[in-house]
Amino acid sequence: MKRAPTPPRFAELLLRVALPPGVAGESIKGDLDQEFADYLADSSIIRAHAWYYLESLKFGARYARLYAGRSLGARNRIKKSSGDNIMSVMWQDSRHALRRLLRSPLFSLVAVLTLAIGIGANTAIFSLVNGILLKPLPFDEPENLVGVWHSAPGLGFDEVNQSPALHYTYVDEGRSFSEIGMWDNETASVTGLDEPEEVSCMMVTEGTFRALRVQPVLGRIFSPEDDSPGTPRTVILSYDYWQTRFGGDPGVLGRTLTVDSRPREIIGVMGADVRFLHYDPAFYLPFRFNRAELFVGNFSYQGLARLAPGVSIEQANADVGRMLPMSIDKFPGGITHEISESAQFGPNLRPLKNDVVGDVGEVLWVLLGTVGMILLIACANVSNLFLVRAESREKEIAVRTAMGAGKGRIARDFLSESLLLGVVGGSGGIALSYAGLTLLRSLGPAELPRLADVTLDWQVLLFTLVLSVLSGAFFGMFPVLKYRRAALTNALKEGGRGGSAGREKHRARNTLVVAQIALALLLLVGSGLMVRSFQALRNVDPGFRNPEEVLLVRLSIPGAQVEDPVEVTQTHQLIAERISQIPGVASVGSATSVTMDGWDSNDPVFVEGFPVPEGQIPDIRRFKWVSDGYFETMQIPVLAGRPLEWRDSYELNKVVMVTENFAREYWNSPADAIGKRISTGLSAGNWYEIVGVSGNVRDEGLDQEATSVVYWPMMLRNLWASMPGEADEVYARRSMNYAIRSARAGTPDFLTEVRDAIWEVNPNLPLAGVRGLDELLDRSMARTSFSLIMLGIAAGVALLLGTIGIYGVISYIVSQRTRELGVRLALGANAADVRKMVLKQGLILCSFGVLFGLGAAIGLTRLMEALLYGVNPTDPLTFVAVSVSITLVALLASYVPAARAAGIDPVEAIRWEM
Amino acid sequence: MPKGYLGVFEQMVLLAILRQGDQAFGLEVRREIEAGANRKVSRSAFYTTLDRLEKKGLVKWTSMESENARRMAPIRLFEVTPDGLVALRESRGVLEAAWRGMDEVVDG
Repeated sequence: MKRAPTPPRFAELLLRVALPPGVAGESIKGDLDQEFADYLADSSIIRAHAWYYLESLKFGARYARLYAGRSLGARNRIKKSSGDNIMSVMWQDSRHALRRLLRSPLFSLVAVLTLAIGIGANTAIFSLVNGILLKPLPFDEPENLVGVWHSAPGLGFDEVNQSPALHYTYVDEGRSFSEIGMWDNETASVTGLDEPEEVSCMMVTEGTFRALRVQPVLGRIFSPEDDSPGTPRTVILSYDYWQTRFGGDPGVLGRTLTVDSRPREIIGVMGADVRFLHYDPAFYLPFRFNRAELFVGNFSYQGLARLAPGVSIEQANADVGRMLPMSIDKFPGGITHEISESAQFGPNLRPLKNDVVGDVGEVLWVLLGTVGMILLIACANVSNLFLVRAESREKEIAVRTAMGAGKGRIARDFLSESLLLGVVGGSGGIALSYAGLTLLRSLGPAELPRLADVTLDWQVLLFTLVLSVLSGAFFGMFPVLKYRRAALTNALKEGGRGGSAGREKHRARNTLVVAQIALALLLLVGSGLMVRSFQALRNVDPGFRNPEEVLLVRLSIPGAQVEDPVEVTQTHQLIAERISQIPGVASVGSATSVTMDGWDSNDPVFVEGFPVPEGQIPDIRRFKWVSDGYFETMQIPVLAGRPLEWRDSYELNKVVMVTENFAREYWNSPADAIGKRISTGLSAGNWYEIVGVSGNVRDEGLDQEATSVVYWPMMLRNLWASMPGEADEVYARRSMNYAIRSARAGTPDFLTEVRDAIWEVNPNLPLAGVRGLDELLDRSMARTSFSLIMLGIAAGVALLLGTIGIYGVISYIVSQRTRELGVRLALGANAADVRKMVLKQGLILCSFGVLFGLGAAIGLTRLMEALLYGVNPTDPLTFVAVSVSITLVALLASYVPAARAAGIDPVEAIRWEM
Repeated sequence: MPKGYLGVFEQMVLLAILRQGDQAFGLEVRREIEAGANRKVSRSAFYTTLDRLEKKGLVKWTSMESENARRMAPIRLFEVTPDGLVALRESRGVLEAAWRGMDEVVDG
């Protein structure tokens, strides 16, 4: 159901603040909302929003005046009794400042806008930093929550996930955890509600919810019985799933949900505010591990734990280190003590927040630094405007000083103006950042976790207030410092326009312009480096070709529907054949994981003829199981031998394919790899023959090295038959990601036809993960393009402000030197000389700016190294290109006033100054 | 006992409330004034005037639920108090006294 549009939230906030509390205010807002709805009926949403904003502003203004009037009355009464009062002085000062500022509306407008941009950008980025990086996770005592990780430097792994055997060892033997949980995000198909659907779900152990201390709104959390094999199957719904699929029915407990063709009893509903780290699962299922079958290995789960009171991460790490050897004896059959030692297997606990936030921190801190510089540039610009204005008031100030106004009084005037500008600019900034965040949230970039936690809360508003006041104080200080020293009597003597455009006078302003150019250069270099990274990434070969023609659909055939592995493979083949009959389909293939789709399975691989020392495991490779047609559809070239075919599955041929980089690690060329044999498991022996070598694929993303992959037939004998709990039986991959190549990919009709084709074979199969292969490619570049866009905007604003700055200063200098230039022209200097002179001045300022900027850039771009790809942080091309372009822009900005200077009529100029 | 002369806008608000009778809700009263005076009435001015009249004891209101199912906020039914009626009468008297004998002068 489509919801009726609601009034803009920021305007509502404003109204809430302005209107009287209680029913009176509520009813006024109610009236306005009703009119908003009427307004919407015959107007566009944008107009209605604008109207609502305008009305709320009017209310705000009207009520602010009322309150101010009231407090003014109060102040007057206080004054009578106790004399001067700091609040009243401030009030008076700001009223006078407002009056003065309103007298020069253009100056005030430009200053406020500049500040609003600078402060708004900072508010927006800080709210991201605050919501994503600084705010604690939304759980009780979040500082005690840790992610349970391990490391194996001996194998080259900094991060090794949790394994069920380790989890139960920690549950039994741990001394430093009060609760410990293990989880994994999965997808499951739900049938029996509407259409069959594939949804994301969360597998958890029963301790997980207790560790997070989350409570259901209905029913209960999982008990140890729910999490044991052989008991009735249960499920806990998420609040959203309960609302959308069960209409929020309070009698939902005890009803049945069919998940992967197995009925499960609904035993609970989680609260609306429960978010499982950065996942939003539809429901939660217990793992139900059989402890008798576990062994140390299978590190494909996520661990989390709550530290016991008073236990530090270091102590918990030591505790895990103590338990690691115990786990090998407790759950034998997997990793041995020798392997563990050679892998230097060890603990690596860390705050759970790291798991949620990921690597986005680097981008955000760089961005915050960037927008900080924008604010500096904005402040420099406003400072310049302020200095210019102050100079035009020199005479007034001199007169006031002569009449007895103290220096403090005059400083207060400047500061009250600048603070007022700062605060008004800050309010504008809040509005801008609010708009920006609304936009960002609607775009919902995959790069940003915890977007729901990003709000303009009191911390952000406090940050903005402090920033506004600091900015105000910053540019207010320039005239104050200047007039503290200056002998103002000169101003009186000279009788007005500064005839002496001395060096002293311009120093402050020149410094500001140099700083602006330096900062703009720094930001331009930053965004230039991002452009270069983006280009470099674009030139990386992902391994597949023409991704825009490939549609991806994941299909999973549950064991409860089709049990026999041969039948599973036949179903997959039938579906593939049926899809390939759709008009316009060039080819179809499937794999457990398509390049870059983020699903990974990794295991060690032995190579015949390359023995591994006793007790060590060979390098870990990525495993994918593929169907006939996969390489053809993905357009991944087969460099030697042949691709895997249907018959390899049906005949249980012991054949594999490997990628080129794998082949070259052991042999000279892909062709040499054909006929060689490899094996997996904990020891060599179960040999599979390499029949084909494919091109390299960037499975981890474009910015990562090509992954070394082993492709297995989608049906084969259990590779791990020698492990405990594993049977020597034929295994078919049930969940396959289908790649469908067609020029029609991406059209809605096409998807419907694909769906119908699949449902013709089996009407109970939900389609999951429907997307284009190009989306995976874009996602792999998401971080780079996000940084590029943000830094690009920042650099653009910086350049604009810097240009305005240099233009302003040069024009001002020209106007101050009109008389001098007029004399020069009268004495025979030609226009070209004058023009050159002024340009030179601009060029000198710019050169200093470029020099300082380059120095800063060399030092600072190293901080963004993590964001770069294929380009050095001190890339000479970027540095030179940016320096040249910024100089050109500065020259252009100086050219306008220079041309004006050259066009001065000497007679006019001299008379003007008389 | 109210003292002094009511402003024209205050009088218009009070009269509009009386005219609307048992339908004297905020929105309706404002629309009545707009229709009668044939001009736009600023919402903020209107509500602050109501506040002022209430503070002077000339109007009072009761809070009700709206019949409109979509409206979440309460609505207020306004009513002119006896003091409000007295103030209206006085204001009318003042105005009438001021106008007495002036019609010819004003109309020319």
